[in-house]
Order: sequence, then C-alpha cells, then structure tokens
Amino acid sequence: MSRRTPILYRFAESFFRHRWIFLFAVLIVSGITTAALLIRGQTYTASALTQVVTQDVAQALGDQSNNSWVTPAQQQVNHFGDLVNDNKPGGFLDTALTRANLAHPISVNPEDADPRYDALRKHLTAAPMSDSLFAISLVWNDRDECGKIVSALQQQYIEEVGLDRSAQSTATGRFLDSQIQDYANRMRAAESVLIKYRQSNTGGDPEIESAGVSQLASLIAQRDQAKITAQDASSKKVMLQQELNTMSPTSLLESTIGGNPYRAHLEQLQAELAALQLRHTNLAPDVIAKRQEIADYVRNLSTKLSATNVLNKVTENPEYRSVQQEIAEAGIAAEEQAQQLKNLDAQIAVYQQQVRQMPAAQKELTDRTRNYAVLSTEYNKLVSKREDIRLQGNLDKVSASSTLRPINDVASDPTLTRTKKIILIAGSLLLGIAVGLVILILSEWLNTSLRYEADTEFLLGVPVLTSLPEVSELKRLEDERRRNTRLLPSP
Amino acid sequence: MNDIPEGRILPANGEGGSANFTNGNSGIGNRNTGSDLSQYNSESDATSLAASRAPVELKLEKTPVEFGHLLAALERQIGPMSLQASPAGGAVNATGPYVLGITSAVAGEGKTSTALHLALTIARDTFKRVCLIDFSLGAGDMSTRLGLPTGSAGMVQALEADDSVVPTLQLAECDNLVVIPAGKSPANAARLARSPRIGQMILSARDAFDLVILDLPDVASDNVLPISQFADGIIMVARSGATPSHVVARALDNIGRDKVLGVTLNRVTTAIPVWMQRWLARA
Repeated sequence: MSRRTPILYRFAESFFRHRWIFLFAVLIVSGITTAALLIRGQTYTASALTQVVTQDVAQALGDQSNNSWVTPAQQQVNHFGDLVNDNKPGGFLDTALTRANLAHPISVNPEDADPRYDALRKHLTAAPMSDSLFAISLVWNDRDECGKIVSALQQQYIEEVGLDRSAQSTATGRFLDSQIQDYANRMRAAESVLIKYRQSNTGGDPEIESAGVSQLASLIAQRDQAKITAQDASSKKVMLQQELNTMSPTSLLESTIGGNPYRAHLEQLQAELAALQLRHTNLAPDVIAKRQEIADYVRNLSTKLSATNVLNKVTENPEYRSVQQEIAEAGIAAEEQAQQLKNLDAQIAVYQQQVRQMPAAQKELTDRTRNYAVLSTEYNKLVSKREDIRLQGNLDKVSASSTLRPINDVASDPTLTRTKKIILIAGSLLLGIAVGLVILILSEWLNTSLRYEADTEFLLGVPVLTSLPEVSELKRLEDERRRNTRLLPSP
Repeated sequence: MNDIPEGRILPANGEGGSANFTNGNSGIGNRNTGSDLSQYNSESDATSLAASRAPVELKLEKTPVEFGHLLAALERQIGPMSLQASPAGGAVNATGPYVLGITSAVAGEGKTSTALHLALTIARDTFKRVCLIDFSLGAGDMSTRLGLPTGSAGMVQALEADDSVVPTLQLAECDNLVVIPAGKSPANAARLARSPRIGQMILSARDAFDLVILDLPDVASDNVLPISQFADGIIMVARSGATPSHVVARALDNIGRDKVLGVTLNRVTTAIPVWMQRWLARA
C-alpha cells in the first residue's frame, strides 16, 4: 500500500515547484495593477457645499406645499439631477460649462460624442450632506478644470432656481414685450400717416381743427349731462308737488273733545303720525299714508266730529312750507338747466357748423390723430405694466436665489492620499498573490503527470512498487541521511 | 541440456552445450563499488577470450537504497519463493526461474537505470543468479552506462549474425550477476524484436539463471510486445512529474495489465527546502 501524501506537503511541493511562476505572477500583476491605479488615480476632486434656507425651499422650487417627507437638501439634489440631464445646447449643462470658461471646452452635443462629456456625467455627483446641506462633487483629471466646473455648476444651479421661480413673470413679460412691439408698430404707422398728411396739407391748421372737433364732443357730452340733470330736477318737482297735495297747510296744535270716541280715535291717529314724523321724513310713504288716513277720517266723520263741541287750536305746518320751498328750488334748477341746455345747443350748433365746414381730409386727419392718441395711451400702459412685471420677476429671482447659499470655497484636492496609496499598493499586492495562487492551482490542476504514489495507484489502477529518487540527488540524499540518525546504510 | 538452442547462454561454470560460453574476472574497475568487471567477447571458440580481455571502466553510479524497497515490493508481488536462492549445485529451485521485464511508456523514463540497479541489488542482496539482458534495441544506453565502447559486441550483433555465442559481462565482486549488453543499435529494430531467436535466448537464460531481467524497449516504440510475451511479469517505469498519466495508462493497456506487477515512479524529486521538509515531517 502506497503512502498518502498530506495535503500540506502537496501544497508546499506545488508552491516551491512553481515558485518562480508564482513570484512572476505576483510581481507582474501587482506591478501593473499598482501602476495602472496610480496613473489613473492622478485625479482631483472638488466639492461645492450649498446650504438651503429651509423655510423657503419649497417656494424656491415652486412647490406650494411644505409638507414633504423629502429633506430640503434631497429636493435640491433631485432638482440638480434633473437639470444636469438637460444637455441640449443652451441648456443648463451647456450654460454652466460655458460659464466655467474651460481652456478645452466640453461639448454637450451628443453628435460630437465628446469623451470628456461622458467622463463629466460619470464623475459628477450631487449628494445631501444633511437636511439642509448638499454637495456637488466632481472627480476630474485636471485640477484647474475640476474647480472651475464645480464652481460654475453651483452658480448656475443657484441662478436656475431663481429663474424657475420667476418663470411666470418672465412669460408674462415676454407676452407684454410682444404686445408692446405690436403697439409700437401700429403707433409708428399711425404717426407716419399723420406726418405724411401734415406734410401734404401744409395750408390748414389741423391742430385747431382737431381742437374744434374735440370741443364739439365735449359740448355734446356736457349737453347730455345737462339733460340728465334737468330731467332729474323735473322729476323731483313733480314728486314734491304730489307730496304737497297730501299735506295740510296747517297743523293742529291743541284740541279738546269731550266724550266723543271718534275724536279720541282721531287723536290716536295724530299721535301715530307724530311718532312717524320723528323717525321719518315728511316724504316717507308711511308718513304720507298716515296723513292720508287722518284726512279721510276727518272728511268722512266730519259730522260726527262736529257733533261734539270741539275746540281746536291750529298753527302753520312747517313741513308744508319746506316742501313748497323745495318745489320752488327744483323749479329754479330746472329753469337753469333748460337755460344751460339752450346755451349748449347754441354752442354745439356753432361747432357743428364749423365741423361741417371741415374738408373730408381733415376728418381723416382727426381720426388718425385720435387713433394715434389711443395707441400711444395703450402703449404707455403696456410699457408700465411690463416694468412692473420685470420688477416682480427680478424680485422673485432674487428671493429664490437667496434661499441657496454657497458655504465653502471650491478647491481641487488630489484624490490619492498617502494612506490611499498604501492601501492601493497593498490591495494590488493581495491581488497579485491571489492571481499567483490561482495560476499555481491551475498549473497543478492541469498537470496530469504522475507525482504521488497514491494518485498513481488511483489513476492507473496498478500498485506502485516504489519511488526512486533523482540520481543526481543521490549524493545530497546520502549526505542528508548521514546527518540524520535515520539514515540507512549504503549498500 | 543437449537440446539447448543456438544462442543459449550458459553460466560461467556451465556444463555441456554446443555454444561456447564462459565468464571470468578481470581487472576492469568499477568506479563506485571498486569491484572488477570482466568482459567476455563473443567468439566462436573459447581461445579468443583471452585476447579480448581489455580493461573497461564501468561508469555506474551508486545504487540507491530505494532499490531495496523495490526488491521488497517485488517479493510481495511475485512471492518470496520465486526470488529465493536456488540450492547449491545449480539445482532448480522450487518455484523455477522468473523472467522480469522492465519497460516504460515512452523513452527516457529511466528503465535501463532501473533494470541495472535492480539487477545489482538483487544480485548483491540475495543469493540468486541474475541475468540482465539489454533488449532496448537501440533505445537504451546500457553499453554506455557500462562504459563499453560503441559498436562493441553484444546481443544485437549475435542475433543479427546468427552467432550462437553471446557475450556477457560479470561484476568481479558480484558473481551472481551476468549482463548481456546490446552492443550496438540494430539495423532493423522491429525485425530484430520479432526474431524467434530472442525467445530462444530468453529460454536459455531462464534455464541458466534464477532471475532474468529484460531491459525492454518503451511501449511507444511498438517493439515491446514481441519480447514481453516471454516475461512472467513486467515493471512499468514512469518518470515522476513528467509523463502524463493517460500515456502510462494507455501503455499499461497495450502491454496487458494482467502481466504488470506495478509501476515504479522514477526520478522523484522535491522542490521543498530541507528546512521545510523537516518541519513538515515534525508536523
């Protein structure tokens, strides 16, 4: 029975037999890996920290609801990620890179297939550092460009947030700009026509003619107003006259009625009238109705009332006199309005006569002048409104931008520190050892030669009689045997 | 013994036989053992022997002690009676002589060295009469190993010339071992391997010695089968760490596994430093 070779011995045997391959693999793999990582690791990193003013972050992003499970910094990071995807020419990324003013510009156009753009997208990151702090970071192979790009991205992002907030104002301003442009064109056209007319009609005085037309319009308006006033005065006079008819010129000051129930009722009615007059004017319907009721009652029951000995003491009615005075005033006003109407009609007739005497061209001039005036008025209104909108937009922009505040100076630092280099070299060495071990195992596995007795018996199915040593090692083996007490005597 | 075929080999003091055969001692020094080796040139008559006794230095390394282990393993495989010494007076032993072939899957595995050292070990450590015949047919280097000049007389020349006398070599201090070198490379190895006289020669040696060791050609040469059929058992020599296992397995299938006594791993070496070997031995 052949001896079994311990696995430890097999491993040691395999290792020392392939030691040069192992060492070669370790050196090559470790060397190449270390060199590649050190060369590729000559990169720089820059980070731009931005603080978010928590109270205004939602408004800065155009979100009206403050209730959110996402932190303000995370919202900014998400928004930044969305903006970075805008790689169209003139978009966020293109604008930021233009702002960076790189010595070798980076093209964001996909058709250019700029590898630096791919590297930028790959190594540009944004991450929240806390609830209200986020960082824009970049790993780049050029120290100067690294800082420039990160700083430009940060500034562009802050501006972009303000632009988002003032987007509505901007849109309104653009619409107003188009309207202003339209009115300006129309106004210039009207002005041009007016100038041409004046140049071609140098004999007349369009200004005066135009003033006459304007005065005519004003007089007509005054006449209309005077008609309305006169109508009001006439109506007032009619109403006052009706009221006067219902009133008695005198009022009962004192009356003594003995045992007459009709008189008692009359006194009650008069008391009610007095109470109403305290609360209402004489023209109030209740007062008028009450007076009418008293008058009817007196007229119908005059015989019954007279049946008793009644001693009345009367006096002049002040309300009656007041109504009479108002009627008189209303009449005077109506007469004044009528007189004014006559004057206005006379003036209008004069101006109408003048207008009728104007030539048709003057009328056209007047119309164009009027059109120019209207257009000019509207134009000025639009300009004023646009300024207001522009101010509002700028205010929104500044307000939104003020919610983001850079809190550090962007600086590029080497990504490989001394500690990282040591770790990198150690890792490369471990990788080399691992590769060497794999090669060693593969070499041993692929080697189908017969080496150990147990393996030989297993593979061939015949017993192994003995293992004979290398002849060239005989002397060494003999010396070894002599040094050990276990040595067998030579034959 | 009168029906001994031509080419029969007789021991030194053999009796009778039509072919002349002799052996003796001469002053040829063995570098390692210090013993003398005598060369007997094959001649048609015995009178020519004295003239050919020129001293030849045997360039033979010291026999490793592991061949004692191989002898022990063979005794376990063949049986102790087979390798026991024959009784005095040349009587046939109880189990009869044994013909042991040594071959390998491919050339250069060390079968000639193995055969030579095994024969020396058996001859020295036992009382058996051993005959080593070089049947390598040009692939082996027995003559060179023994320090014989190239093209000297040997088995090949005797077979090709239909000579009835085969030259033999014998160690001076190892009377039990007789070596029959090939002498030279055969003109047609395949034809020579299939010569009927080979069988006659092996049968003659079988009758004359207790153990006949055949240094066979490698299996890849396709000349081993005609000769190995005369062997009772075969040892397959495989070079450790060199010969693929499937090549050795195919060789075993070709030669017949029933006749193979076992495999000898040759030229086993280790790359482990001595200090680690000691540590591993303690562990």
